[in-house]
Amino acid sequence: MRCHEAPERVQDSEKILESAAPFGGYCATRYRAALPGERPQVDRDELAALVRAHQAEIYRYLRYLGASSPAAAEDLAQETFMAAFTSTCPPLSRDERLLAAWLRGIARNLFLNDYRKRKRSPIKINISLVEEAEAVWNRDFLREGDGFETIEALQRCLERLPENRRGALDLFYRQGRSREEVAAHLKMTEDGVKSLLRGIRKVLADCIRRNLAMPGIGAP
Amino acid sequence: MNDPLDSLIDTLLREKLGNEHPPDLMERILHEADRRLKPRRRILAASLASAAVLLLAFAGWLWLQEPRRGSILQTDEKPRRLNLGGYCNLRMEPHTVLKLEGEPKAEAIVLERGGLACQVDPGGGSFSVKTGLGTVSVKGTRFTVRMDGTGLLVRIQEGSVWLGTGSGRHLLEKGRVEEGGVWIGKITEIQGDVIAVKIEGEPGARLVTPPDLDEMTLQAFKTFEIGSAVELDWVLDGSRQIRSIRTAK
Repeated sequence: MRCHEAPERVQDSEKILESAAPFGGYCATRYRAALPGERPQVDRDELAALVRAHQAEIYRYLRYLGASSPAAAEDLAQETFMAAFTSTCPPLSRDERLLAAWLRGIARNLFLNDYRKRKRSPIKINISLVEEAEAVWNRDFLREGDGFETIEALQRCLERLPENRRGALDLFYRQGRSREEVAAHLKMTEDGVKSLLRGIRKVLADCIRRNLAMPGIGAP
Repeated sequence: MNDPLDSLIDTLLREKLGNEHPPDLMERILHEADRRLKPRRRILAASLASAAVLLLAFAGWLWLQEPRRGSILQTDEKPRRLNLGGYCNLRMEPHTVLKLEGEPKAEAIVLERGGLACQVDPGGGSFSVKTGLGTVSVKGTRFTVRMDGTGLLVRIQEGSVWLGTGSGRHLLEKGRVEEGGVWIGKITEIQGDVIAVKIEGEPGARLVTPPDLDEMTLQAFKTFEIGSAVELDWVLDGSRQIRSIRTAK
């Protein structure tokens, strides 16, 4: 499909990509198609600059979408930059936020394609949630920045987290114990651990929001 | 993913507490980019190789079209231009037959029949036209050679040429038109200094006397007998004048 052409049959993932494309354009106004025989507009140096600036976010974003493992996220991130490298219609603008959104669009599409290939995957994707995920990523992580403030806020919230909750997080995240092992350690059921962890994450999310809304306030 | 916000905090916790930091993919990605660029380079190299092969094939075809030594060239109704060794520009007249000989810097042809206009660039090398009646050797000149039956015509437009015949070798200068030939016949009568020769294809006999002949021929003159086969060199000087007579080969 050429950049300037509308897809004849829009599939779910393409819908998402279209709706989430930077400034709502699917290569419509801010993208242009390469002329026949024209080289892709991202050269090797620009690719290096893109990787340097956006690789952390793209990797993190893929894990956030549900890439099954760090290795899977790395592979998809690599493919994202390769797709950008060979793209015939990169954004004309060099605005970093626009480029990041463009790369996330590619990553999201690749993630969904990869998911389709693995129909037997235990990971279940709700397509409408993926659409919502982009909104959450922008609103709750990037916050019109690069997400660094959110990470710092998380650190502050973790430091203020009660010891028992912190212990559960340590077992699961820091020590890499399975839910079953954590349940045994805390003398709980697996479902109980699941609910506990989800509850802690909810608390942390609220804390981060409060913290960023009013820095200095927002202990869990 | 059931709850994007929950998934976001989960991702950040894995990074913060689980030490799952985003990896540095720079080297890996650039390596992959270089690898994917290679096919383009291979295509370019293949295109260049194909072009080189085509060029070689074309050069080979041209080489095959080029007349080579030993080959016999013949024209029909149309003239033909030739270049030998890069310095001999020849124009074969219609109905001409010649054979290519010689070697680099010393191009030569054997003119069997017909006519040939030659322009030899000075400094390129020597060039000679061999005929059954004589050889024209040149270095940097323009001339015409025509051979018909038993006659040879040499016309000099520029420079000079050496004309070698059975009776010797002499220089022809610019503007000179030399027309001569060889008659073959049999001596029918000898009376003192006069020899009667019956020329093949001509009625009657032609009389040859010593004043017509050069010194060398005079020495051989005494050895002739009636019935001897002889060759007579003639040149056109108003009419055909006999210049020499010798025993036929």
